[in-house]
Amino acid sequence: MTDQAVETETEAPPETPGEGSSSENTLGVLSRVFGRFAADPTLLAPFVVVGFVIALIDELRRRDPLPARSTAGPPGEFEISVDLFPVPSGIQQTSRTLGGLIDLQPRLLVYGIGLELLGIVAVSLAGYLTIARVLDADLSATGAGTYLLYAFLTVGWTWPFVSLQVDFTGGALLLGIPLLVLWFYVTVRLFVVPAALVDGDGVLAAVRRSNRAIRGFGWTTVGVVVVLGLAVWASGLLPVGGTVVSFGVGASLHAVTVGVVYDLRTTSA
Amino acid sequence: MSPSRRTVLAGSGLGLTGLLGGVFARDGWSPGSSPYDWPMSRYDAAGTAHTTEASGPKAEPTIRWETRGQTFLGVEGEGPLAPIRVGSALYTAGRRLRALAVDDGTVRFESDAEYTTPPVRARAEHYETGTIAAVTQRGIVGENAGGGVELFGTNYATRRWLSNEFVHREEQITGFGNPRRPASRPVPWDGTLYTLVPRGGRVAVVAIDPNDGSVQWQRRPEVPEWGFFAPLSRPVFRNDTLYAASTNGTVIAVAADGSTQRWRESLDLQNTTALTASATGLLVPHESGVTLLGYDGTVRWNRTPERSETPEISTAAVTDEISAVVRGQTLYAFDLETGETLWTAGDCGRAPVIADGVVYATGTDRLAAFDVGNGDLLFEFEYSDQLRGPLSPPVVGDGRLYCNSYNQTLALEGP
Repeated sequence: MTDQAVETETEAPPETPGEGSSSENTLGVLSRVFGRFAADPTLLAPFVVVGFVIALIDELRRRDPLPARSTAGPPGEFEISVDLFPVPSGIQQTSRTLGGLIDLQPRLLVYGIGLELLGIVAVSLAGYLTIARVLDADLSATGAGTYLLYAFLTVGWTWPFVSLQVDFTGGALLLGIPLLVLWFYVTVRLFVVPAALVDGDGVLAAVRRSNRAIRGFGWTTVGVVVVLGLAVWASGLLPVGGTVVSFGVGASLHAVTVGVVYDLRTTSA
Repeated sequence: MSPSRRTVLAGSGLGLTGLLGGVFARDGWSPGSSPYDWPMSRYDAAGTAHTTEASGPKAEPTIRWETRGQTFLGVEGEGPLAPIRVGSALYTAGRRLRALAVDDGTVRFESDAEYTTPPVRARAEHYETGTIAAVTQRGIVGENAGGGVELFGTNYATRRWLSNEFVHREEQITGFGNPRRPASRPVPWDGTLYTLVPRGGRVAVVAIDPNDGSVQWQRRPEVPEWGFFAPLSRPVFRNDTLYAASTNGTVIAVAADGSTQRWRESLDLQNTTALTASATGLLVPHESGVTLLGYDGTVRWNRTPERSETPEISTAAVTDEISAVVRGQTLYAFDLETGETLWTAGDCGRAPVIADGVVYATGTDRLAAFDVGNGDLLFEFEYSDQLRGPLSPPVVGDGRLYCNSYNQTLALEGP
């Protein structure tokens, strides 16, 4: 795949691709990821910058006259959560609802949509740059645009699905468990789509390539998703600076892992 | 995987695809406004339940339309919640918020939640449509009066906000057998929504921005204790002052901007229910009758009707001369100046309303209309659905009257 990735692989102990090899179990993948960070700490930079941008967006959402809701759970409730997004991202402290934007006065509507677009463009750009650095891929406006398109589409796709889950209680859990399984399946299968996009694929080709790459690697990826999701969740818990840490650490970790898994699977395939 | 966190899975926290589609697909329906608007269950922020602008049937009415489908949680301990009217729409809140066309009762949109108070319309200056607010078990919800976005016959994104930063899980308003709820009926006044919430055995006044649901301020008035919260409790307003009463007879007056507490009066009353702000003072209904409290906090008169089997008393409706209140099953009309009982009528049950010289009062399977001047019965209308029970307090206007039974919404019109 890339020179850097090949070097990493050659430095690792001899291995055979597959679920059982040391480099392709969850710990093996994570150790490669940390190796990349150790070799190149600047991988953190794009999402640290984005963390500050999102923190600013959070603050604007809190202060402006549009409805904003806190993404923290109710006070006094503690719940462990796996938070992972279709493209690498961290946890924002606030969010908008669609209903808060409908029928707004035009000036505020433009502002409200603009702020949301700024967030998604910043997150996409940081993800694109970080993964491209991991893959040592050439940067292109087309690639960045396709990445942004995918981020945009998956944000739109997850919204109604996620909304279904807001009020799970009691009997609704019966509906919730299959949805949870579905969420994990889709998240795992599409895990390396962002890397395929950076590598030059179109959206559909990237989805197909990700699906192929994860085949036979599903349980390892489930482990990676759980660890990353917990990391993103935990990094967002800090009362001060949580947004910057969540993006700077959590999203960077996610982006580098996507690059490493893609590299590993497409190189070994 | 937690539901609350999953709500932010959307990266930027919002489905932009859905958003843009939604914005462009918006059908532009808005209820508008009309001279017959009845924007909260007691008509205005003073709680008068009285209008001279609108009139309802004055003789035996017929059913113009009836629409099934709403169900009520019985939160007031006495039956279905009153509707409100805004422009061309009638809104009812129960197991869902529904907007019905006033002319034929067709459903304009629905929004699911378990609403425990009647809706109120609050003006939201940043939006082209108003906000319809009501209390749920999780907080106060603000819905788009225009119904959000309609796609393929279903409305989406109807909810603007959930305001719950004032909610304390341990401190909820409960009635006998009623669902818990964190706040009293909200009342809109001068661009702000106000509610009363239990706080440490006392009360807090919370002011909410109807645009985004943010809490503008909270104030805990100085009171010795507040007792339990009556299910009907709510604040009332007159001359930039908020008034509220506890069930044990403490009445407070607080500047509407929250800056000062003007006065506090502890009356020796039991089971006080929601106040009404009249031209001459505050009508304070309580277990034994009605007290008129001047706006300086002094008692003007106190009337104790004959004892009835049930000491329950409704909140009062009031004109410039007369106040009407239901105690037990009896409707009483008092002279507002003297407190003299002018007339009485039986077989009523819920809080009366007054429009264009007619007092309307509902009871079990029954609606009755009386001449406000002399108490003459103008008509009596029997109505029963499968779930026998009281009708809600009505809304009148445009020659019609609207009310809810347990599972129907009715529009009546005169001959």
